[in-house]
Amino acid sequence: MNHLDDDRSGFKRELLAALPGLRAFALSLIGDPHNADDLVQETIMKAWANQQSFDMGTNMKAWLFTILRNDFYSRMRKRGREVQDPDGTYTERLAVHPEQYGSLDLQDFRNALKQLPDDQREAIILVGASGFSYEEAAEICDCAIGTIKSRVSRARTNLQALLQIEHEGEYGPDAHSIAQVTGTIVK
Amino acid sequence: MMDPDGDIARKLRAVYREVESQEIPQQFLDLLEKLDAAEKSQKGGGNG
Repeated sequence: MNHLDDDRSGFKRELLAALPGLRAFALSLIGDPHNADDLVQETIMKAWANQQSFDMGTNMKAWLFTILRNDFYSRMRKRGREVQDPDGTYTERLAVHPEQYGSLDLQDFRNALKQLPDDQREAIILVGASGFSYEEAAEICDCAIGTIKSRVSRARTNLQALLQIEHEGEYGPDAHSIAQVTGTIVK
Repeated sequence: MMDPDGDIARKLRAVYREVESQEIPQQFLDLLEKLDAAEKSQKGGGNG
């Protein structure tokens, strides 16, 4: 095997290893598993076509997430509307076939995540679930580190409020006063 | 008293891990093989 083949098989191997995380991120952006996998498919093709521009040994995961994210937002701009489950079909399907979409005990949390503004959900997932640093997340989202930190912080605040409303009483007397702020999401 | 940040962080990772632990759909594996094969044949097939 010559040097070029080594590079390509290493690229393919790393791409394959990154796919589970990429799928999870796509699903958090899109909500519908079928469209999410479409997005991942396009990302794989774009990444492969741009192999030469990728420097092996640098952060492939961040590179792939950036491609996927940019593709997602350019799709949204073309359509001029929210792509996230516009017809509620994801939520509907979930009610009928919950085991396809994940365990029910996390359903409250998943619902709360969906209610977050897109930029906050994206930030908290990149930092809290995908394993990126604040700096890496800022690069992926093409914004300042402070912006990411503030989005993550607001996402946490909002998630706490949303979850406490759903589990009213479980967290003690304070849950009731928070419930009075129903519907007020920190933007 | 439960730490709300800890609880949220835990659930976030759990939700995410559920998708990550699914098997990679065959369509992606097939796509990668196709891309790889197409490139190999363009470059003359290498060592065989």
